[in-house]
Amino acid sequence: MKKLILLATLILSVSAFGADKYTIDPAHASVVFKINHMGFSNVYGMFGDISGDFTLDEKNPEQSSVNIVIKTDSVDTKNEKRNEHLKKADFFDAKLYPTITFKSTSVKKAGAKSYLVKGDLTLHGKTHPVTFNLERFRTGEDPMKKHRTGGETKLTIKRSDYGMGFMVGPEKVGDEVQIMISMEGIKD
Amino acid sequence: MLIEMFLKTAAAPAVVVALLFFFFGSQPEPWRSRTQSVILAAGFIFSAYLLSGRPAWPPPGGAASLIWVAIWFALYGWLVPAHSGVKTVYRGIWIIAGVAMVVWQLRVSLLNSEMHARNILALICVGWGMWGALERSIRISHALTPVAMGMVTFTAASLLFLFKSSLLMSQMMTAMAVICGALSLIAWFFPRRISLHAVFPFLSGFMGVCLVTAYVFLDINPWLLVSLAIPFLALLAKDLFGWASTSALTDALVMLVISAIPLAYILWKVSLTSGPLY
Repeated sequence: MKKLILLATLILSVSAFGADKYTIDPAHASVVFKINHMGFSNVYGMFGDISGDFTLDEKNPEQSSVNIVIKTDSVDTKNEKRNEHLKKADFFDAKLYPTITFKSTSVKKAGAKSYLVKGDLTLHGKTHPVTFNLERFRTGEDPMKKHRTGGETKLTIKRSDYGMGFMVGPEKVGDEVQIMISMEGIKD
Repeated sequence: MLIEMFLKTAAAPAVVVALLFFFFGSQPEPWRSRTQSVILAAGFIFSAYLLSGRPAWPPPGGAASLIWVAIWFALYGWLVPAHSGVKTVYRGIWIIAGVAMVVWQLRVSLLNSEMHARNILALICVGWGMWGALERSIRISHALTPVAMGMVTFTAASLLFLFKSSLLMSQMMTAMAVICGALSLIAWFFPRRISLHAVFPFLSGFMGVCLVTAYVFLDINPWLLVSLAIPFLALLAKDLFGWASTSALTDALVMLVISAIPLAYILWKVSLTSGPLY
């Protein structure tokens, strides 16, 4: 019996050492999007309120996971009237859908410093699977002795898939939205 | 692009609605009211479909709910026959149920706020009162006048919603305003071809639900929304003082000017602070 308990403790310890849990640092997390404006140019925007966490398991990457929560009403496109418009019923409908969430369903090692992440993106009340390649950057201690790691990814979605089909068209506002996510996590 | 959008989503449905009204206007009651209720709702739904795509259930947002609310008010015209006795109670039930469709997804947060619940109740009463004012108005007014009043209210709502950041809801109100404009022509030249019993639920009850939608989803000051009922207040005053002209056009034009001036002033003040979209 003692040997069993010892073995279980050992396994738990090893797995605990294997998976590192990080909390997303909102000050160093950016979600930037790009959308075409009537074919003339692209408009960039970002979200100011990002939170979440991720778990990284170096030895067993399949055990890793990512959870991101973005507050919809933190959308910022450097134009107050447009920000208000985006928050209202024509687009994000922030009152009804206050958050955009991403929850990973699988993580696979894709290269020395990259991971193939699959998960569910919930936007405007609709959930669809998305896949992206997460490039990992540096891991180590910052000057404040906090252990950090970070990475960046890009993905493209169609807003009409998420029920945001107003003003979609080649001479209106683009349907495809390119999203760039860059984030740092602080080890718990 | 805006002209193309206007022609496609507002003018085209309005022309089709007016032609169908004229075509089915010779039917005996209750079929005239029933078919015209369905035609009116179909015109709005077609316009909304062109603007925001296929309707989904449950509706993904406030504006999308209005498609289902239009069906709900068409059902009123179909189920409640003209000249039935207990219409006032039915009207209230219909508006409350229409509002419930729109605010259902936000019910928890809305009911937790006494202020929101109170304002929504007040806007329901405005819609209900507008319906009553329309019903009273036909005692002395020509068919053209109440339909023209509906056109003024929807036009004002369209501008107010545009100033308050919803092009979609603004365009939906434009579609209704243009449909009212087309129906005004029918009411002017062929008054016997229009069933006001089919039109009134959309000019008042449906409008009341639109006011609640704008309050909840666009955060518009409820006093501004209440001011959209000025044309109906003018109709009530007209009924109270018993003023009527023998000419349908004069009757409608006088009422149109009386109600449009204060609304234009209010909207001008709003445009100074909010402005149109960027």
